[in-house]
This record gives sequence, C-alpha cells and structure tokens, in this order.
Amino acid sequence: MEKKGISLKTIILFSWPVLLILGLLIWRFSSKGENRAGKKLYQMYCSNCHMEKGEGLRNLIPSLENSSLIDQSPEKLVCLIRNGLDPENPTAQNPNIKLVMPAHPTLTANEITSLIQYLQQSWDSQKPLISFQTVENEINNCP
Amino acid sequence: MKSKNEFFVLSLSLLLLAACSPDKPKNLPYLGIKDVTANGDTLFHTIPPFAFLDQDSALITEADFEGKVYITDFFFTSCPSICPKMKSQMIRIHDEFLDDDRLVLLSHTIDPENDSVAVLKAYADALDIKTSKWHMVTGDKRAIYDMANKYLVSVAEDNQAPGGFVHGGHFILIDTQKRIRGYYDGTKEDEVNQLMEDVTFLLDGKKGN
Repeated sequence: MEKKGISLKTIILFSWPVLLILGLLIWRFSSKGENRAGKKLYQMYCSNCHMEKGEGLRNLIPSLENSSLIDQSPEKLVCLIRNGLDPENPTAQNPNIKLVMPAHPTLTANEITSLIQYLQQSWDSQKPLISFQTVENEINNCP
Repeated sequence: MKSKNEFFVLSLSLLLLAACSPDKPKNLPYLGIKDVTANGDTLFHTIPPFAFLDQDSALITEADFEGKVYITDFFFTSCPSICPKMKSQMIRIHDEFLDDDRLVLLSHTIDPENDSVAVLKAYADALDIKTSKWHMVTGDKRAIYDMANKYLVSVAEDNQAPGGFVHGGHFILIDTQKRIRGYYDGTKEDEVNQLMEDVTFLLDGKKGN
C-alpha cells in the first residue's frame, strides 16, 4: 500500500518536467511561424510547374527565387494567381509555346492570402506580409 | 573461451564482408509479349520502325538509334499537369549523359496539331538541350499514337483532362536491340535515379554509383 503511494508520488514529481519538455518540443515544431496552409496550397497549385523549391524549369517556367513580384509588389500576384497568364499576353514567358500559367478562379481571398504570404516567407520578400484586406481589394479590381 | 572468441571474430568479419561485397549481378527484364519460334528461340517484343521530325526538322528513324540505348516518353508542350516535372527529370538524364553518345532521349508530342517543329524548337531552346542527345519529335498523329501502343503505354485525347490530353508519365527504357527493359515514373526523382542506374547497367554491364 505504502509502496503504491510512493510510486504515485514519484510519477507526479517526475512527470511534470517531462510534460514541460514535451510541450516545449511540440510548441517549437508546430508554431515556428510556419505557414502550413500556404505551403499546402503551394504544393497543390504551384509546385507542379514552379517545382518543389521554386526553381522553375530553365527558360520555360520562371524561377521564384529572384521574382521581383514576390520581392517588391506581392499585391500584383493576386490577379496573376486568380486569372493566370493569357497566352497572347506579351509578358508570357515564351509566346511561341502555349504553356501558360493556369487560372485559379476558385481560390478564395483567404487561400490566396495564405499562398502569397507563403511565397513571401519562402523567398524573403522586402515587403511586409500581404493582408487579407489587400487581397480582397485586389480581387474586386481584377480584370 | 578462445574458440568462442574466434567464432565471434569470424562471424563478425563474415558479416562485414557481406556488407561490403558488391551487389549480385543484376539483370533487367524483357517486357512485352514474348513469342517462341519453331526451334525454341524466344522472340522478345521489339519496337518497329518509325519516322518523325525532330526540333531541327531532321527526319529521325529507328536507324538513328542503331546500337544505342534510348529513353522515350510522350508529352505535349502546352501540358500544364505532369509534363514540367517529367521534363525537369529528363533534363537530369540529359545533363548526366550529355557526353555519352551511347544513350539518346526521344520525346514524342501527342499534340502534333499544335506542336509543330517550330514550337518544339522553341520548347527545346527554352530547356537549353542538345538536339543530338534529346530529340523532340512530331509527325502524323495516328503514327505517334500507334507508336505509343508499341511502347505499351496509353495516350488519348480527352476534353476533360488538363490541356486536353491524358497520358501516363512513363519513361521507357529501350536497349540496343530495341527491346523494352523498364518503365519508370518520370515525375519521381527516385525512379529516375533507378532508371539512370539501369542505363549504366545496360551500357557498361555494371551498376552505377
């Protein structure tokens, strides 16, 4: 009986530091500012062409690494992601090839916000993270 | 006691030896339907003659692959789904075997109506590839789709599919005798690693590093 009491006490005494360390570990790996939603969206809609690490495909598909849009004007990404690129548009990478950036009209403002924030976080944007409000305004003014 | 120790040392060294010894000689299968002749010889499925135009407007036939190992696939330039990944993996093979003339790459467009020689040229230029190493070919649509059947892969037009066509992302390995020796998922890095290892095996009779 006494033995049981001691062991319970011991458990309580020694379990709290273990729990504390476990909690700290969980906190460290789950909330390190990682934008999971944005990463998931990137893998779903972007990585097929821009590749897992954003390196693109030589001169066929642009790399995201030195993208001035991500770096300087992330708000311009909103309509680009929603409407894609028109093959007749002279800004398309190679007008002879009809490989164009597809439109994603079903993505919500919330999703686009997470996605662009992920791009900014991953490729060190100079601008502050885009806000939901900015994305919503841009969507309302998309061509 | 001594004999026990000796036994231990012996088994340990045997284990180490087993771990360090080279892999068993491997072989690659011969794929497709086999036939047996009257005198008992096995006839393997082989790729029949073909003639297509590549990105430099050169006529490419089976004669260009005489005595060579080649890897082939089916794609189209406006493909928004798996093609970029396949092409990024094919580029790895292109770069790895750039100076080895014993291996050639052959990509067929399944959308010859849009993928003219000029479009293939622009595509190849954008990928910065060497034509003699990697032929991107176009031609008669029926002939291309028939060839896909000969390589035992399926391609089809489908309005519902992204870009209007469906196709598997396979890289097909063909040996110097035009026999099919392997299928690999061209969108997966580890499968393409295996493919490059198998190419080295076909070329040199040993596994690559």
